[in-house]
Amino acid sequence: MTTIGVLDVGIGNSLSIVGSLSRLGCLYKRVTSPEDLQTVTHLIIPGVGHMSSLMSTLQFTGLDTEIRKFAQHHYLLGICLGFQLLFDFSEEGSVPCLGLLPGRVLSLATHAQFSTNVGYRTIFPNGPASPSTPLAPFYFTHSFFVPPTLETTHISLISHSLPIAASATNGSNIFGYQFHPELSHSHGRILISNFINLK
Amino acid sequence: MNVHHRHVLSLVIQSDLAYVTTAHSCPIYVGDPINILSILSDYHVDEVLIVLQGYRSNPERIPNIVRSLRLTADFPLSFTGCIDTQLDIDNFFHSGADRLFFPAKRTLSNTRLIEYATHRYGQQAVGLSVDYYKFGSRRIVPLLEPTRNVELHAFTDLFNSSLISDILLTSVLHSGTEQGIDFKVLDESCLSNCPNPLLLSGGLGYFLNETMSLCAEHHPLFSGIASSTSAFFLNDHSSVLVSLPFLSNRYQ
Amino acid sequence: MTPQICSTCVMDQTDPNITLFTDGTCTHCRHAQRFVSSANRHTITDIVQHIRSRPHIGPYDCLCGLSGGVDSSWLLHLLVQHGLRPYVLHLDTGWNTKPAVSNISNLCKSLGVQLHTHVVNWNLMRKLQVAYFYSGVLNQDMPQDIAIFSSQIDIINKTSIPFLITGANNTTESILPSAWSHHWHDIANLQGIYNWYWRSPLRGFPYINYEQLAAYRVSHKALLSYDCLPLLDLIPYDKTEALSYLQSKYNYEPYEHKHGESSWTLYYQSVYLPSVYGIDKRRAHLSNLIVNGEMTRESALQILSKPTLPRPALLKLCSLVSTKLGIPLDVALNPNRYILPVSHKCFVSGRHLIDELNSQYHNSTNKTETFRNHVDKYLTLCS
Repeated sequence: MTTIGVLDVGIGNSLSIVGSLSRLGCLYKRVTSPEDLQTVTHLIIPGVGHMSSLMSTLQFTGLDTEIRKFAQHHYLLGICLGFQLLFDFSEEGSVPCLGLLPGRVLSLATHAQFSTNVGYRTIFPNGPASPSTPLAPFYFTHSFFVPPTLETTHISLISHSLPIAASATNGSNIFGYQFHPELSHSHGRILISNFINLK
Repeated sequence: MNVHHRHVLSLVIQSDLAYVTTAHSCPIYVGDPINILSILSDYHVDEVLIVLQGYRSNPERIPNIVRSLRLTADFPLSFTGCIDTQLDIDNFFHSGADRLFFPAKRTLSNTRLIEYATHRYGQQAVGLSVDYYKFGSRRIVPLLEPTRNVELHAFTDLFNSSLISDILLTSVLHSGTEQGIDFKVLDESCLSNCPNPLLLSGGLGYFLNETMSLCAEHHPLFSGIASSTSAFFLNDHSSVLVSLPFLSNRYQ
Repeated sequence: MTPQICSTCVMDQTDPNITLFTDGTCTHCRHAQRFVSSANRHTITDIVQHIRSRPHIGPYDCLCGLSGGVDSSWLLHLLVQHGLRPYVLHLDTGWNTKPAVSNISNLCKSLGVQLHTHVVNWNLMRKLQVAYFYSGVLNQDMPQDIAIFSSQIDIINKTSIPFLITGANNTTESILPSAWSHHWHDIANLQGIYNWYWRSPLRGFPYINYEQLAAYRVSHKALLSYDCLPLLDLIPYDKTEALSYLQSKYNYEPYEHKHGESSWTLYYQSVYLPSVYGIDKRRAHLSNLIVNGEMTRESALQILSKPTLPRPALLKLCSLVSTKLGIPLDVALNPNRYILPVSHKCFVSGRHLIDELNSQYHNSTNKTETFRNHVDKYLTLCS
């Protein structure tokens, strides 16, 4: 039976995810410890936070190891900071992350000459002929980014020459969005609905 | 380039009731903030900035109102006002805030709060609000020259630091000019090279489209406009409120 | 046992007072039939002429409440189209939906009328509604109805506007079992329920004095400075045509559900009433449409076989109610699990006095004395 878990360790805006799940009529569990993780089939890791704070909290609770194990056989969705957490390393605090997707999280200020990408941006499927058909704008707010990798399914262009990974997946059970689907109105809610309906 | 300028709606909340303020009027009571945010969700508003007032005497009520607003809105919510301690910062973010705006002048004398906020919640979650009228007008305190009240270099450092993202310039139409925003001051100030997104506010709601394009021409990092009047159009009658059909500008 | 249902309309024995006749009709469809045949007594031109002929101080010749629903929107259109200058009043009780807001705004802009909006003290309204909710009484719309009417009379008293135009229309809403409603004029009940829950007296709620309410109800002319005109009952009114016209001329956004302009009324009729009282008010509305010939009985039965709201809309609505009133989501979703139906008479109520006045007033030889006695008795009850 599907049970949706929302990571809630004091870093990350879990309530905005909870609001979306409530509107979708979906029951959920708060995951605050490794024990909670045993009882869920899907885990959503919310955004809004500093990577070093999140990683140190996960290490302190033992959740970093448990989430890596969880990700071998269950569904995982990372949003914004949660998306960046899936990769190998983040320049935000220079910390290693979960390493579930290959790639590094880089600083916008260093690579883009501006500090934060904030606002609604269209995204494009990542392919040889990109940018092709744009999709409805989603809300981005981040100071660090992941350059597109093999796992990137969609990109967003935040300056003339800088594509960023907007979404990524390992092709089976791990998914991530750099933007906030739960803050992107009804079209963002469809993405969350798609995730919670995965079996 | 993939740029959609933001239209941030601002709403004042006092005693759990919503008010709208414009330049020359007393705050006008507009009802239950939860219902207003529910309507704004259906209108697909870009984002909302909530100005909390009057909660300093009972800050324990803040998590409840923030949480209620968060569970109603499916768009980003920023907050400002009544953020005095690290506990306040935690309360806001744990209750669902996406971003907090800190007043620039007070932050200058005490950066501990924004350092705490940034190191726990990330740079993109911390904004600064600067009163353009006080700091932008040559008649008052020019950004070009340091005075005994303003440490310009300290502001420059703050604006360019990795501690903040959004810079919200307030009262831009009170810069002393009659012709709208005094872009020259903006161009010549330390904000011209600042790497952070700029939001402008202060009487801009009535001139939305023209302002958006003018600002975008003038500043490469112009991010959008904050306004209370472009969603709630106020008639002269003091108790009148007509909601404009409001569409976020990304669909234009 | 399944309640028996009328063969002509779709009212059934969830109204405990219904009589099902052997010819297949019932008390309700017979009652509604009278309104269908007795409508169309006046033309709009006659009414407008009547309004114009009354002198008035100030720029407004009548007052029209605007909720954003089809009836009040159509009313406003008619009044302005025929050259009248209505004072347009909207009372924001805190439950407006986005289509209501959009419709009110579009309509006023297109018609070039100034909208006057009064916004209730939400903190007080919320407390009153929480008290009503947990009391389990039938009429959960009372606080809003009293507030709306009070605001209209308040303006009339301040501006001396001679006509109050109401949107009541018996041709589309005549079917309403007495067991499905409680007089919203019962101010004593408002005070009683609030006091019971919050253990303190109700203060600051904008209800007018009872005398004016009672005078309005029985049209006691001696105390009324205005005439009340239920315009939609006096002229031909086809709601479907009206909606179609509003959509094409004013970009009017139709509501997905009846009473979609107020989230509370939608919740009350779609969730609270069916759950706590087993009453589905769609029966009354659809029965009216059947009697008017606007719908077949088969279509009505098909509608009734589906839930009052589809699940996503139900969840969104209950989440909103839960957050606004500060009650748990589960309680908002399933009120019958936590709330028992309780009669208004279990709290302070003047219903028996109201019923008494309604039956005695019009046949009384000394209406002033009858009215005075009633008000004195009612106010004694309130104190």
